[in-house]
Amino acid sequence: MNVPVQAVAVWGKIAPSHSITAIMITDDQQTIVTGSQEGQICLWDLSSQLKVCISSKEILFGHTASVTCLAKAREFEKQPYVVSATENGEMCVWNVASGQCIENTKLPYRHTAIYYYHCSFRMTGEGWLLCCGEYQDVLIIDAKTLGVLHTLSSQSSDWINCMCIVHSARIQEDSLVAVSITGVLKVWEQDVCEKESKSLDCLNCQAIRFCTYTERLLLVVSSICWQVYDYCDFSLLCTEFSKSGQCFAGGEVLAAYRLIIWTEDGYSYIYQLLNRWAQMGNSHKKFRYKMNFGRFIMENLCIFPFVMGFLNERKEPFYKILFSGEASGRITLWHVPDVPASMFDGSPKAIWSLQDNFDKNLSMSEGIIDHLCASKYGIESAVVTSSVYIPSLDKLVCGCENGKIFVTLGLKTARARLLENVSLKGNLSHKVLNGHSSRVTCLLYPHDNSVKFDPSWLLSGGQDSVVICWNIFTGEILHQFILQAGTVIELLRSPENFKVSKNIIKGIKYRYKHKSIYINLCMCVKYICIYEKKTLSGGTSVTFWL
Amino acid sequence: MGSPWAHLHWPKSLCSCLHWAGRWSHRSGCAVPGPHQHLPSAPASHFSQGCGWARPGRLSGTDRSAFSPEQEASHRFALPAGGAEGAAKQESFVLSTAGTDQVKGVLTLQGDALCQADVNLKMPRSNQLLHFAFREDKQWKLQQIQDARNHVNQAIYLLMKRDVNYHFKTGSEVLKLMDAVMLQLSRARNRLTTPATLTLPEIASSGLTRMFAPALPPDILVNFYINLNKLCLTIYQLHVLQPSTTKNFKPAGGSILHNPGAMFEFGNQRYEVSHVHKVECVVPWLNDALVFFTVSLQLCQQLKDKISVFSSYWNYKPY
Repeated sequence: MNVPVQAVAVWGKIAPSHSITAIMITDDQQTIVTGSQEGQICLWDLSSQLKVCISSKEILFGHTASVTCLAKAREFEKQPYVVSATENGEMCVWNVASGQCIENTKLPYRHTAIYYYHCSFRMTGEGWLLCCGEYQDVLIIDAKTLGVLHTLSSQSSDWINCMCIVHSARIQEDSLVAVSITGVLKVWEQDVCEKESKSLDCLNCQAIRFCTYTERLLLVVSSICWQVYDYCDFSLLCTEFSKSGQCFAGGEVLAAYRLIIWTEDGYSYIYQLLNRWAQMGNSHKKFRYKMNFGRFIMENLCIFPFVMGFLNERKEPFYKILFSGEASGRITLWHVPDVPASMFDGSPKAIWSLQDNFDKNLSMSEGIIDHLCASKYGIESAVVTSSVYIPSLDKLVCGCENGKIFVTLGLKTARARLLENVSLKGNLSHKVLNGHSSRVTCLLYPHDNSVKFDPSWLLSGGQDSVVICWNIFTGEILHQFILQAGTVIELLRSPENFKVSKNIIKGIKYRYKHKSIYINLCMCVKYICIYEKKTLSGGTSVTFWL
Repeated sequence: MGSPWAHLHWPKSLCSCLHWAGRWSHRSGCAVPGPHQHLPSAPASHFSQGCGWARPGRLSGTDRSAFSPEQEASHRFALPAGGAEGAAKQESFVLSTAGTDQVKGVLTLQGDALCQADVNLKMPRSNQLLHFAFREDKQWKLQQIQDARNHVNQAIYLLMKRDVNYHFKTGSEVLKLMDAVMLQLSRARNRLTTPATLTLPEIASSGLTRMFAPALPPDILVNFYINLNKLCLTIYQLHVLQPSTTKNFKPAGGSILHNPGAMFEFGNQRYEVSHVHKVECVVPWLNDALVFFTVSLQLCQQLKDKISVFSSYWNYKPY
């Protein structure tokens, strides 16, 4: 029986980077979920007090690529599940209350949007995930097993940019409205065949929303303009273009004739559509005047792309919340006023980032090598740029920004630091290897993977384009390879049974002490490979491929 | 202190590459969004002066100094017509193997879809000639071309959405933009160089089998795909494995091209591939597209490398 291993992460002073690429607020409005470019999902607590306050709760690790979209995966009251999808096709269902991963899969599809759909009289399972992305049409994925059920196909199938579920009491059947990347609007109803499609004059559609207040208007936001259509016959009612240099990124319907549109650089605008219809059904009357009031601005406007969303609060005091996440890892919330308020200056209600959480924590234990790295003046510890842990020797090797390499005992040091056992602190042996003149970018202990290699070898590569082979026990430099070819990006062990080709373009032969070490420089691949070959005379040769 | 990245012009060659991208995208059957269609054929640039690299030069939006402000306004507000699929021209390709005329196919490619396929297959033993063609109203969309085209459009959109007068504020902003553009371009290239690996049941159940009139015989499987710059047609001849057979049944996995002897189960019957025919033909504009991808990726990488050099020199922090 597998005993689950408890993992503990100890963080330093600097929060991990969290470049937000997807953001959503859960149905119960207690949690904000953000997905990042690094592949992590962060859960934030949204307090329901009058003063909106955010605080990060948990970071979920698991994905290996950038998160593209987030959506709820069940009816939230019973099961607080959220599904996340990444660039390389991974999909995970998380329980946001406990932080556990309930289900995961890897499909060959890259999703850009997922919507949860459940209709108790149409399906027996847990519900469907309607997904669109960089593939043709819309996929229906089972919310429980994450298996593909079927595809909603269409005549001229292409990638779908955005979609929305139209669900209203007046229209008996639920339908799915989507806009493809070429600007074709498609509607699907109960069956999997497309009911109708119409070409809209809008490319790069960013968002599509159905107005549930009027049950008639359809808002389509593209990067250069937003448009309102009549849902009954898809006639264009109103258009508004963006200012030069601005791109719209999304929008939402606030109230019956009021919209909020946000741009890629963090500005949001509220529009009021005047000239309401006198009679329903008269689709030729277009809106003649739009009034733009209310503008939201970000503090310290950042130039990185934002992801934004909108939410209507369901409990007192019924705020309308506009939220955004940005690449620096900051979440900003605004309260959208109901009536135009001249006093409203558009500044945000709350701004929070992971670093704020980190700064709040006053107690901190020392890092494993902090005492070794502290500079003479005790100002700042050196930044660790690469590291490798050698389980067989329990050694932790850290390469730093200034070129130093620290070799210290791994678990023992961690134990001493965390448990603050003063007696152990002073007695831990460590070594400082000085050889590089600038940042150490990669470390490799080849004996870990293959016993062919000498267990005392440790290789390091640096920004100074030098590869050094150390004896990890004595700390002496066995050999230095000065490459003069740029930063060493990676050190790899060559695969087993790798043979040297005789046709090598350039070669430099070194003889060093008792060993002959060949360095063959082939300017073909960016990586350096270390390879060991037994020569006929019984000696060993080491070949580096550059 | 002003940002050192405030002044750096786009290289002339990247603009020309975008021009090519626009032409290729249009050719493959879709109007490309944005004002790039009016890119001047020889954009002016200050790059050739070389001073851009000796000291921090000016990185403005794509150098479109040939535009007047009115032209620029009309480009921004003119909504390009979507779905110009009909405008793409039809091109016919003859796929055959030199020396033998066992399989010969004439495929008509319009943009990203095959609108007509005429295949002649000479059965190896009986010398009987089989002929099948697409039904009149049917088109087979080559998803590889469609996906590659969409990726190129996304790359163009990323570069083009900035204003002429936009000034980049940090080096890492340019690096992120280049990373995003290079990601789209390499994905576009991968779609053309890596056809999907399909299992034989997937080929048998694909919509392609229903495209032909007269209907395909049940012992023939057909597959089309793009491999690099070539349009390929593969035909698998099957024979039914009787339940009493002594052969060890081992279903074949997914592959781009299956070999004779591969077995699979489909519709309660077991089959074995007896013959595989593969013919291909080079599509010239796919060749151009691949060259374009390589050149643009190189240019983006060069721009990134040069900025990195400056970044490390100026020690500029991104946040």
